[in-house]
Amino acid sequence: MSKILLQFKNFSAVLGRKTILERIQTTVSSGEIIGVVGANGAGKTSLLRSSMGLIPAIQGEVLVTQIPSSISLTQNLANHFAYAPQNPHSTWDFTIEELGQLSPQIDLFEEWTRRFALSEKKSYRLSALSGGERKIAHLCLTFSLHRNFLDKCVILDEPTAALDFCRAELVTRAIKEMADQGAGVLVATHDLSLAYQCHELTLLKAGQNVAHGKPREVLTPTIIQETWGVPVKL
Amino acid sequence: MKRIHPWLAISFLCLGLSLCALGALALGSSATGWGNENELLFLRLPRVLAAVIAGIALGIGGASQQGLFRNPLADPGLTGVFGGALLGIAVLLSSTDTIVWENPWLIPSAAFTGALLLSLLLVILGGKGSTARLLLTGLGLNAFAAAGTLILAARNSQTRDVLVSGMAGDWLGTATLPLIAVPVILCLTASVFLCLQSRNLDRLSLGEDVALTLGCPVQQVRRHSILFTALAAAAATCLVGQIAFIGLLAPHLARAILGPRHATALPLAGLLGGILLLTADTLGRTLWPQTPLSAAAMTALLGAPVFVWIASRQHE
Repeated sequence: MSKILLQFKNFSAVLGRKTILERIQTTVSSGEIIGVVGANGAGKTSLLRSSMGLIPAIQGEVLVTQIPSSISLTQNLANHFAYAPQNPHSTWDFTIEELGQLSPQIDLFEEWTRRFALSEKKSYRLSALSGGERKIAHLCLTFSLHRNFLDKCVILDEPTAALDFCRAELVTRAIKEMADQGAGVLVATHDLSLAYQCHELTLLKAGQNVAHGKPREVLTPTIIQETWGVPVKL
Repeated sequence: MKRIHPWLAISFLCLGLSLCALGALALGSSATGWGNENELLFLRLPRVLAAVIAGIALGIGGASQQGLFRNPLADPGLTGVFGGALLGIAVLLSSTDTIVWENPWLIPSAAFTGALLLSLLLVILGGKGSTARLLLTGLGLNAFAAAGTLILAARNSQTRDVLVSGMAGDWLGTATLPLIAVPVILCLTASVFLCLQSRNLDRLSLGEDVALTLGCPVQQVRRHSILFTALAAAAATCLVGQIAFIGLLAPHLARAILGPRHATALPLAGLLGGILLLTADTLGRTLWPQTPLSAAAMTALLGAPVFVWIASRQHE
């Protein structure tokens, strides 16, 4: 029986006066990949950020079972989480090599750059890379945060967006490997091939969890038409 | 692109700074050469020391503020921190009499209080948001602090001369060893503590969320950086007065030479800041001995073209 790592219990959050998340119920267990899908602006990024305690709850809570509630979550993010934002950005124009030096495990970063065919460009500055290459460089940093992903929470915001087919597939494989090591992965995505690799999908609409289940149960023509407003054939 | 080895660049600049200091000690308004002992020891040495140390603190303080706000155009001179330091000094001078000169800690304390208050206002009003918001907030606060300083200065003719020359960045000429001792110590302390933050400032540049997962204690880093940037700016203000540009120029040059990592950019910005301020001050006092130029004026004169050149290169 796999261990529950992250648990949203009736979680609601607001931004200004707008409710961005409403009564979210989701769990992420070790070894599981949970996909968060939904139209743009449905609250996917907010859901990911609140899983790390970065958005305060106005109702309900997010439990990170690895961290006792007496200890601040934000101070323990480094020990239990790995996070890749949708649009990674750096104020300074580091080279890929310098970016890797920000990782606690530089050797792992170098290994990931080799896997993603980026090691030849390690002396390139981030501004000299294409959008997809830059995204991959930042993903290498995220993936290098832990030597062993057992019981770690991996939070990925559209990891395959902007990537070519080949690299998107490599990233999807890497995500599955981390889950096999025992990580709980929470991934927001618009990429159908990645969505179908998830163990479960959570469908968000206007901050509400409108469907939850296996990918084939959630991504049905009826639900897709209701959520995105376009008829499709699958 | 192949970058220069960090230790080579740092040793080279240390050598450069030492040569500049020797040159500055040898140049005087009366004559070229070492002059008599008194002139060397009581006039030139304190002035050279003050310029070098203030320059180091300004370079490192500027680079740290840019790292903290994740904003390459932040500079304590533009964001009002110097203005705050000067306002603190103005409040002290106008509220008490000559006693302030007897306790060497009073003026630096007043400057630090003013600088810290201004920094906190800056963080609260403009810290979260775009480059433009931070700079506009800083300009507003700077103007407000300058107005306060001028109002306080106008009420007393004795303090007016002191404060107006402070606003023009022209205090280096009044440096004496007892007067600069405390600010020099504070400048060095702040510089060392800011350099210790370099790894965390690198991580912060990826955004607060990512920085947290990289193990950067974001809140603590912010507190430390605000505190010690204010201290560096306040102590440097006590030595030079209000001086913009060095905190902007030195870090940009440093990053162009050794890349953006703070572990190299901060020390290098310090050394460059020292060289820039010392050169500016020495040229200002020796080129036209009859009508010496303030360090701030010379810095702007030397720094502005280089800055424009860097800016134009960055957009290519």
